[in-house]
Amino acid sequence: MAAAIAESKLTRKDFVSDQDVRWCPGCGDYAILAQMQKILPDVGVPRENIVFVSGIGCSSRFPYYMNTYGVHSIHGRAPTIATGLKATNPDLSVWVITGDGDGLSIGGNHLIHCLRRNVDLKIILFNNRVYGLTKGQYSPTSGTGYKSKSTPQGSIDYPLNPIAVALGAEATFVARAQDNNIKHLSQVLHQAAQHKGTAFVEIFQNCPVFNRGAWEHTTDANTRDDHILFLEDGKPLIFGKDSDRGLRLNGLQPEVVQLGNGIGEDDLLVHRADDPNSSYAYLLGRLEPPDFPVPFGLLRQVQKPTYDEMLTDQVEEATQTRGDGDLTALFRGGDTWVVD
Amino acid sequence: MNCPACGTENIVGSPVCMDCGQTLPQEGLEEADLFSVPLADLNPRQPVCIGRQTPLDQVLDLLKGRNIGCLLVTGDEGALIGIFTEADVLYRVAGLIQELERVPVESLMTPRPTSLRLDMPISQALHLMGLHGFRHIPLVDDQEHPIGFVSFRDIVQFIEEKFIDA
Repeated sequence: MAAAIAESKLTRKDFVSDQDVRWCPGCGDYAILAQMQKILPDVGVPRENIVFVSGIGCSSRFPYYMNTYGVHSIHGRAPTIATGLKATNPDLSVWVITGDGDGLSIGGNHLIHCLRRNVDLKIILFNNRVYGLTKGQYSPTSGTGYKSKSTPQGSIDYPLNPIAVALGAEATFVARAQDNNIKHLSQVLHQAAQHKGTAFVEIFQNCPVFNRGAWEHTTDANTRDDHILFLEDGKPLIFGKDSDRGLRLNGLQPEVVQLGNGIGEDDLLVHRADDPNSSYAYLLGRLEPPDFPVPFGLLRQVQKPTYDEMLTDQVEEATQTRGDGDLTALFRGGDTWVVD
Repeated sequence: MNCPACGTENIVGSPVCMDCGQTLPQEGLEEADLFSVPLADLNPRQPVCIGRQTPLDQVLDLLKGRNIGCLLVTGDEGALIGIFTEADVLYRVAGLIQELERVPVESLMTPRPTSLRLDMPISQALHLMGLHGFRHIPLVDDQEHPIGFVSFRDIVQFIEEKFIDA
């Protein structure tokens, strides 16, 4: 039955649920939702094998709007629930939808342990640098000095960099995209869908109500070309409106250089997402305006055995050598005590 | 909502066209404006400030004489320390206190009231009003000195003007 459904060509509309979308007008979440609905028909997974698991927050309403299975779960715990789901039903394509608050504050611990285990999940983190659902408190990615309802004199926290967090946890797939660049976003989501292992995607998402302009460097049509570095595997790191600037290493430090006057493409760093050492990706992930452009695209992709695969192997091995388990016998076996 | 550039039908509210990336006009923009417009755009009225020892008879005279619904109470340094509103007159004074001239406002005001700043969105004031039932919210500067106040009526008028304009 599943094969028959998979053979019929699905379209975006097959992934649109009958629920009214309830985000604020102009919210970047709409753009991400639309691209997700657009790429899934091409991913090749039967619709009944796709599950979206979210935590709490504006973005976590996402599963309602997808005509797939979905769980609107517990604050910060989506990676954990998704891990259980994938481990017990490896055929599923499991997506985690989270935000900067849900994923990095309330669920920070759950996120990093999911990443280090390399569970075969796709984790999409909508980063708008603010708690939108609760009407505008500062989040773990809000900049220092950011004034909000909960930081009236400006935040004195140093923000988390989601890419650095993911790389610190040795994630096997780390990428960044932006809500309003739909082609690039679509490409990154598709790459994430194809990855075997935990795919972590940070999406710069505009909150037009409580944090308008948070990503102005990379959204302003007049200046964004000078602030965005699109990563292409095997290509030198070149950016700028006229593609006339590049990145090279000066010792261990990245350096922006103007092309020409003796400096050519051969002097620049060449992008390699499959570098087994995550230090290079970490260097990229730390780049930010005003001194550096913001890298978009696939920062890192390496292959490692996944948690769910290894778990399945262990269960099969144990079954082969010791036979099917007997839960009742296990429960009644060994030392038992009677508590009076 | 159809994209004006390519005609693709998009989800209402989407900021960009899902097919061509064209920036889309926002249906329901009035609602978005209402959320994001700063309180300064309400042209908040100047506050009437009083000291903590101001007796209630003078307080009531000020409320009636100035035709306002609240007075802001300031401390020695001029910072906001309390608020006294018409609701306080109804629930804490009327029929309960006879010698108004002997009771300082400090004893009946709401101390340490929630305040907002001019650059905060109107939505925050609405949120507080909805959550706590506030009808008046003081506006302060970075030194916590009162610079105005926003009332429930101010917001209703703002909404009314928006609808008329639309």
